[in-house]
Amino acid sequence: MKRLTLRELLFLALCCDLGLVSKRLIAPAANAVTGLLRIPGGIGTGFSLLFLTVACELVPRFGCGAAMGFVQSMIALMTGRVGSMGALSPVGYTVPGLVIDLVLLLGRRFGLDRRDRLVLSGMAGSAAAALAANLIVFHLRGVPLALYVLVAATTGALCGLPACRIVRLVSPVLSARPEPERRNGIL
Amino acid sequence: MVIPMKKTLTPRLLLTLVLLTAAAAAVHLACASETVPGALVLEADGKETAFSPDTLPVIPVEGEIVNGRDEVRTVREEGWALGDVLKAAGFDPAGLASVTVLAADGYSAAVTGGELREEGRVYLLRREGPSFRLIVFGDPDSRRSVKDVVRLIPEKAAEAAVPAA
Repeated sequence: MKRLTLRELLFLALCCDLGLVSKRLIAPAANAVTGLLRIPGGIGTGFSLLFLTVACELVPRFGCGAAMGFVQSMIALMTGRVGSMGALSPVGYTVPGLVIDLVLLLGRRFGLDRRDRLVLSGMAGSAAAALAANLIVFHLRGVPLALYVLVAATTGALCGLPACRIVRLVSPVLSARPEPERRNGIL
Repeated sequence: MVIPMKKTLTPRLLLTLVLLTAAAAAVHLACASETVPGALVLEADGKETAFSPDTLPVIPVEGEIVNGRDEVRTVREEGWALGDVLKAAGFDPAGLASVTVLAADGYSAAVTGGELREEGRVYLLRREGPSFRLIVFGDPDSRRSVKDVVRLIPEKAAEAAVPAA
């Protein structure tokens, strides 16, 4: 298996951080909407997973999403920002990443176009994150659970559209060949 | 010239999701609006009873709780000991195994009978609105800090087995 380049690793690390930061940035607005709907969340996670889908689409290796989710959970644990999930946050972060990996892999295999792949992976990843959070923290049942998962899935799917745009913009930059290294002024 | 467009899933998928979400939200909010502001629903033995803790005198509630960011926060508010609320509603905390506290958004937390009987441990804060918030002093995190409490579900303790004569 081909090893990841330094450029790809740096891009994955950047997307990990952007995912974590964006969740914090969008939290006040997301909480206002989920408060109105009387559900405990679902929007912030869908938005933060946008960066995971972008990274997994641009670095198409199976396991990238799961690894990024795990790294995010470690960052969250080390900075004490795990919220109500506590020590189980690695599960809550890694499961959506793994689902994104799977959906993108199947999407490529079945020849789905990029936009469909990103929308589907965002939707499935967000729904998986909501289900994991429900299992670990919320323990919702019935209609509140259905609404919570649907809100998460819809947010994830909608975030697939900007993800597609970002992939189009970043793709040429990430795939560009690096300048040849000069040694003693000789190429 | 007509350029053939490749059919994509996205528009239909998004429309379906939005419609399903709107339908679920309508059902959820219609059910939620059945709760009376300022009242709690007590659910026991298959029966539901509306009960207002405002009939009890409020007491000052003071202590420290740990929030979701591991920060210690001082609470200085008014409310009632949850055991007193249940007693006023006809449930003796001595005979309860646990109480499930349910919020309007479906979030729930369980308090054991032992914690209910512990002095200065479990309180129901009275908030503006009026609404109620559960706090459990001494918890290492904020998982049982339940805002907008609407329902209490007490579980009676199993009666001790009577030894055979």
